[in-house]
Amino acid sequence: MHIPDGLLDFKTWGTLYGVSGGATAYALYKVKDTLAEKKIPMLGITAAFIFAAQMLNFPVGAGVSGHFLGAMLACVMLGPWEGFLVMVVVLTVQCLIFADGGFAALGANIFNMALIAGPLCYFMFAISKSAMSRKFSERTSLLTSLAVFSWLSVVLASAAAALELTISNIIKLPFASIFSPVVGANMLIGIGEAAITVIVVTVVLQARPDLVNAYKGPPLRKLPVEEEGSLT
Amino acid sequence: MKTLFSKKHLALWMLAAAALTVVIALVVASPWASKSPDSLEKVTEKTGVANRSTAAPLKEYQVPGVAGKQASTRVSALLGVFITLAVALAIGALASWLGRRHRGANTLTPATAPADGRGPSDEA
Repeated sequence: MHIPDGLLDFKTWGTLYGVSGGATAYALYKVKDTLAEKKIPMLGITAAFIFAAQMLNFPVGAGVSGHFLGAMLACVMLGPWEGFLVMVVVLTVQCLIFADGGFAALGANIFNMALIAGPLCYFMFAISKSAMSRKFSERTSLLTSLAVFSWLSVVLASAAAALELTISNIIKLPFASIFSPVVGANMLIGIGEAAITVIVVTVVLQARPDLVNAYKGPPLRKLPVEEEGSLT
Repeated sequence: MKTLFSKKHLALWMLAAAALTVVIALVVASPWASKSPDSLEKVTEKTGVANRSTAAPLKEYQVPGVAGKQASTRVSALLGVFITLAVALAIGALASWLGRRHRGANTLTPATAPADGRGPSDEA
């Protein structure tokens, strides 16, 4: 759902450039004290993975395709603002090197796919996870909340894009005739998003739970080093 | 090196190998992605408003000079992976540098990793 150039008016893309620019500065400020050197490779790997995964459009019926987004994956793996920065990198590279998403629309695309689908959905995810973890295990709470909010991240990002196109009123279509097909398709794409996100996080949780930033529970299986003394 | 290849790091290496395999598979599969328009293009293409696309070095995920559309897409995917990796590492280094500068005199104090205290801290 990268918005190309020519579909947004100045007040919309200008405002969203401001918001996204501010959010990027805030994210850099926010992560500077918590970003350990050893986390930097994970930042790079996550960004590269998301870039590669976004290339693979899959059909969602009726001659429409969609692709993985990855904002919630990045936020859960690295932390909300680290994840936001990863998405800013991916979207900026796509825009400047591949003309995927317009240059004027870059602020809007960052707003939709990095900020709304990233930290905003992550904070809702965090509330859901902590509410659930009173009754369920940390792992179940995390993965269930992740499925729901990674689905929602795609839907909300597409709804924001539909709203921006309506406000700009350059394509001169009423809100409903933009919103329904765009959000409808993304409700299906969101299922793929949730599946991929949950699978990746499940695999990493199984292998190295300490690499999943949002996971605060104990190791799911004892590391071999610890096993030596305490095999049950 | 001994710790790097210890049993403790086996999971990390397997994870790294899995990630690399998936990324290679995605690069190889990139030309087979659905060519259908995405939901936004589908809606806007009927309105007749031209999608002005920006000029960019690897426009439409094609590398100029690489023969064959599929090969061109794969090369562009591979280049994109490396460029994204490099830029993300640079942003990480920038944030880390900002943090070190912010902490001022305590340059040698490592950043407080959120992961600390809940897992092995000596990853590769």
